[in-house]
Amino acid sequence: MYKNCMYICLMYSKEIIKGTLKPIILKLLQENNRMYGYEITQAVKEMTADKIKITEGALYPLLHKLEAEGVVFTEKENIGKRVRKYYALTPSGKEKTKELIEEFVDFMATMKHIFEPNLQPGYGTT
Amino acid sequence: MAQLNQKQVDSIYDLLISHGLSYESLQVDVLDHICCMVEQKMDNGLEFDESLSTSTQEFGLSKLSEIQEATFHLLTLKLNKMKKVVGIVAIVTALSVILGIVFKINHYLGAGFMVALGFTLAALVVFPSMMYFDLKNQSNWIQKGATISGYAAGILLSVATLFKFMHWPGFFMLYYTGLFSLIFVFLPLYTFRNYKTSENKIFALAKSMLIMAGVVTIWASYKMADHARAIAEMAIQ
Repeated sequence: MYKNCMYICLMYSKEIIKGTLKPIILKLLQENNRMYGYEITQAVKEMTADKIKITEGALYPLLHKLEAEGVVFTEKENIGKRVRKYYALTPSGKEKTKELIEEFVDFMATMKHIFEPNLQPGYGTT
Repeated sequence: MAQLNQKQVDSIYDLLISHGLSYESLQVDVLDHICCMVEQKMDNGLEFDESLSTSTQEFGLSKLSEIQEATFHLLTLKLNKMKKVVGIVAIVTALSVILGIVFKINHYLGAGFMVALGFTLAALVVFPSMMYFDLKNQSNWIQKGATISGYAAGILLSVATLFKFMHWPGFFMLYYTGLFSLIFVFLPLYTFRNYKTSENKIFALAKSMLIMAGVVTIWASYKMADHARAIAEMAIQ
């Protein structure tokens, strides 16, 4: 069903979900200290009750980019007969994550005003 | 919890390689990812072979080259912008060295400034950033050693030339350290790496010999310049 989709999908269309991958990953790393790729995909799957599935095709390029930008760093560990790469936020990455998440939460509140107009104006912005 | 053995991990690794996944850093990620998927299925009672075939189907091995390209694309976006800036600085550097030397020979005004600017930019901006770009694409330590020693020699020789031009002390130490790094570190590593990976061994050797010839030429021209100066001084006396 989601084979041909390079980005995150399943329940929501690509247009809507575009741009949410980065905040989702950073939020998870903020809360879990360090995670490996498979763990991230499973965590998102579980937390969203399968509504959002992050594909590997979107996850790993983004993680590598974040590493190149100095937002995350990696630690390698031997797990059985293979190497596992853990991703964690750098100190500057933590700052950036905080800002991005604040912005994202604010954005969601604004969207709520538009799509659920019967709520009080100003809801969720404080 | 199931844990794959060496043979099983190796077979998955071979599968990734055969599907064109060559970027080492991504190999580690994807290998672990697929191993996790397989182990998960084995925990649910499937055999290894069956788990592997369902996992690879879910993952879609045909996507591997796509994932790799997407990674490269995201990684190089910023790098390409940096490369453009460095390219412009490199052109300015080359121009100021060339014009500076032509001016110097003809005793025009501004020669010293241009030469100084050229070699300073080469040593501080152009060589270090080019080294950075090269190192980003290399994972083999011999290759990295060759890159570092080669650019270090370039930086040392640029600084040496700058010192010579400005008549500052310390030229000889810089010059000979640079030559040493070039001949005894860079060249052996470069030749070794090139010889091992190249399909045409003779051509690989020829390349190294040509670099050696170039180094000897530079060394000789310095020597000859010194020699000529000594003769001139003797003639004056």
